[in-house]
Amino acid sequence: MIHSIHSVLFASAILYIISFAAIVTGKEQLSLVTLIIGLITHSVYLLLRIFMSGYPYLQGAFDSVFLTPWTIAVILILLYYRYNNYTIFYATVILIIAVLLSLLYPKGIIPPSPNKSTYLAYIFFMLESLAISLFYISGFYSALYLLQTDSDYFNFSYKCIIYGFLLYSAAQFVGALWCYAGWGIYFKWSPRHLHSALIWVLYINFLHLKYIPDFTNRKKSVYALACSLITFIFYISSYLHEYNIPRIGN
Amino acid sequence: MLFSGSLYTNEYFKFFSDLDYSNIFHWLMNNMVDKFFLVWWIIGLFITVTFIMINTFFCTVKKLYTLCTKRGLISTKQLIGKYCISIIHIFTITILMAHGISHGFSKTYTFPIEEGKSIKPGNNQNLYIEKILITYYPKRSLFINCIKDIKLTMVECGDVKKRITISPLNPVLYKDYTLFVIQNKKKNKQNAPSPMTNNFNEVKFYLLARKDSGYTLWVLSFTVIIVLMSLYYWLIYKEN
Repeated sequence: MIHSIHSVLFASAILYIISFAAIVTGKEQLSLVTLIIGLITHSVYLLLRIFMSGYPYLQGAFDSVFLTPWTIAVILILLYYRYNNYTIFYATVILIIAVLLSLLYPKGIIPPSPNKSTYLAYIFFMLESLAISLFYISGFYSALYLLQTDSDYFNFSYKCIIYGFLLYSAAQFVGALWCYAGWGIYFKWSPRHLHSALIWVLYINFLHLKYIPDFTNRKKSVYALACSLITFIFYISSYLHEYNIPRIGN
Repeated sequence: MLFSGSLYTNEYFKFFSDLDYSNIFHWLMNNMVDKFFLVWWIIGLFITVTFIMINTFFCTVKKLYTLCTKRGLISTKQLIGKYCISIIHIFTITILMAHGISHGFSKTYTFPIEEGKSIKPGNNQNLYIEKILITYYPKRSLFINCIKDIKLTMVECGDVKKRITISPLNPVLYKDYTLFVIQNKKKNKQNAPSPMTNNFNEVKFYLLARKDSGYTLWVLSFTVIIVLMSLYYWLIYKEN
């Protein structure tokens, strides 16, 4: 039963790969349709994770390894309807990397503890996943700008960073409120909290680069790409940190 | 500094987790000589943050002065945006100060949870734990033996028997202190506990009494920053 639940994630990964293949081969409509079906399939998988243990447990859907590809897919579809531009679907390559990582990761649920079942935790994980998805997308468009020097790519990357930064700030705020209620402190001297602080500082730094006249858009793109790679490495390291934790329903 | 710190805290997790509930100045005093190679980045972080605070303060004052002199030259919307930025920077300083207050001047007491045991946070009256109620997940679920909730009923020792109920995620303000139920998992990588036996023996719960003046300042400052940042970018969005 549990294995058939996890095969839903596998199905959504295949759909995302088809979506990418379709946009590369110029079949734009097919790319959009498969991405939407992939997102629906992925949503079903996250819903199934809630009920996987035989008791409704919301935290199951908010494991960031499985939530991040979902938020990337949501953002790509929203961006398509906002800008009406199919080239956005080239960014499905990030989605594929994220979903492949989740396929390789243990799929069970970390046993619940009383200080994790709160709406603050769900809001935190949702905001954080949305923010890091925007950072990854900004990195992708920064790379495109460096390759093709199209100012639209730079502007797009910049907007993603602004919205990502706002969401990331809100996530840190909500996360700290949760930490205070659950552990009595709002900042822990742990790698996870230090990484979050570091990512925040990196993007604050990026937003202040506009005050340096000599810092061209090209240099900013290099910086934005580096920031999104660092964010990616930090999140991979936090996933690896939790890799060996015993889980329920693998 | 933060990056170095993340590497050190990853490698010496237990050593740095002691700092979470300790006074940072005392902790540094105790470890600076023997373990300088481990704690140098915290000192560096303090120095860097202090410089950032000074720099931010003077730059914001300079910016506000320039804004006041140029008030008539820019539109009201632009002026609001620029004031937003200045206020955000001021509150960034207060956030950093709040962290300093929390880490340097908080008082923390930890008590084991045991029925009938009394605790005394600070110079307050004694409280004794009257009842501990543990709820588990239903037996039909895979979370069998996992604790769903733990509720403590505490009674104030005195003429008036005031009752306090406290559980994880639901801290209670008692006199100057906030009371929390926190948990501490025993970490044993070699012999990881089975999820099916994640019971009261393997997860230790504590009662934490904490007086943290920095928290209120931190919440206030961060709220203002998020509201103003959203307003600032919304103004820009509307303008473009």
